[in-house]
Amino acid sequence: MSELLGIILAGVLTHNILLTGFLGMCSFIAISRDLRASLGLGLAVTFVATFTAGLNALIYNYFLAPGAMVWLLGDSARSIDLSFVSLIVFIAVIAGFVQVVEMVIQRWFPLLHGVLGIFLPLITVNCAILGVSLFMVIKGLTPFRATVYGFASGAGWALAIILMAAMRRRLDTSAMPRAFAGVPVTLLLTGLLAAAFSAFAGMEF
Amino acid sequence: MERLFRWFRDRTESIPAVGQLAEALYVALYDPLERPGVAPFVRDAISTKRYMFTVVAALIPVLMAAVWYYGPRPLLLVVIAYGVGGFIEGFFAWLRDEPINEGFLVSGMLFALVFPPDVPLWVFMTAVVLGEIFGKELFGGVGRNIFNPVLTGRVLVFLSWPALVAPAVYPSPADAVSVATYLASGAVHQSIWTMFAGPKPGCIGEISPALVYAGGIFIALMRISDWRIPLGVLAGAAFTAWAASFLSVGARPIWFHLLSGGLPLAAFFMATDPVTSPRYAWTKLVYGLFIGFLVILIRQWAPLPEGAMFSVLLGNAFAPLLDEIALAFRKKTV
Repeated sequence: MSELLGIILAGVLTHNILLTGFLGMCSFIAISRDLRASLGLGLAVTFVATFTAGLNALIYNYFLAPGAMVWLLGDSARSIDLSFVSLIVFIAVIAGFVQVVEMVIQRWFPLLHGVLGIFLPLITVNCAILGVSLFMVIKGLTPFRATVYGFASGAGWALAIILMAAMRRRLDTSAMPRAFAGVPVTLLLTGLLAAAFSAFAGMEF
Repeated sequence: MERLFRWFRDRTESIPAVGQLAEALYVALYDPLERPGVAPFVRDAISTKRYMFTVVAALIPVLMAAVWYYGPRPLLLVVIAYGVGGFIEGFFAWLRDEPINEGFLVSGMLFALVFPPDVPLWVFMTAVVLGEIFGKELFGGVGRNIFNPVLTGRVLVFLSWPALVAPAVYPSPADAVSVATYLASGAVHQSIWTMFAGPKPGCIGEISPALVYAGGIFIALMRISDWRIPLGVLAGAAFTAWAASFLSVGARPIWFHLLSGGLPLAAFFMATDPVTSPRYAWTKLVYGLFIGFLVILIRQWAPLPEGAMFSVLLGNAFAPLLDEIALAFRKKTV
């Protein structure tokens, strides 16, 4: 239990995927202009990251990892190592998952589709999602822990974009130098936010 | 004399840079003498200038105590902060074609107070330049920044040269002795009176919590700062320290936490910055509690001795969101 709490706190605070890894910056900068949209995108990223991390962990641990297919092919599979295709497989899984989820949500949960709808296709190319799956392999997590890790990373990303959207909203009403408004100030604020979050680096629970 | 300055101001009004300097000089010396002739009238004689000077006045005892124990070096830092900060402020005021704002009187003072007295001068100047430019001027100047400019400069040089910003001298009128701060050494072997009144090793502004508390309570009573914020910070820190005593081994007593490190200065003078704190009454309280919670969280579980600087910056980051939430509730209920 405390280990799971550790994974969650690491994903949200100490290893925030946006503020320490700087992944998913493009949609972060583009969408943080609007608070409501940031909320929706943050939710969608959390949702997709949770399930794709779990799914990819299952696939990796039972098919792609070195010697993972022993359960299927017997001892002769001990030398099979498919991990070199994991990048492509992860991308395919993410894209396929997003497609299927979008159709399912549109058909049976129209309200949820109203909230997440526009953002789901955007997420297919969000590098934070792919990053979660790749980090999960490096960390050697089991499928269940990978799911928790995906949720935590997505929540950390959502926290960062919501904070940024609120900050930018305050800036909207103040007289910024024109050359500096928009993307430049967002990058500066991201850097300062990352500096503030560096307080959590190395924190142990 | 007043007429001379006014004459100088009126004559140079149209000249860039010189005009702004003359205006700033006149405001600094004579502003409250000018009475408004037309409505609206405000009952109180408070202005941005009076506001800033009250905060500076509240900090002067702390600075004097530091000068007593460390010699003239703290004063030198203040002079440098005013010089460099004033130059940057003036330059950007000239760029923006706005009058020079008095805000840097407070931030210049605070810049000196958040550094140890033996900080290399080039590190200190770098912090002032980075804090003024990246913490304030690029956002459009005083009143438009998101993060506290003093702590922005401090955190940037802290992350760049951690060893140079760490304090290493012990305050003593006779001679300086190298020693770790009480927070870094991790021991509680000081009497509560030494912890409260000082002198304590660390940054200049940490020399005597008693004087910081006195100055902070003074500006809160003068309604320069909102009492909810320091109350929130201290309550949040006290509660978290109390909770930590159950969770973690080696937790230190509550009074030790409330009297050590940058916490008093952060609670009364950093978190209360009206620009970077939330705008509503209850969000101010939540913001204070959050900062107090973070200070103890970082002290107890992160590999850093002190978390006050980071906590205030994180609080600044959450402040706009707290206000957005407050606004959403308000819209719903009205």
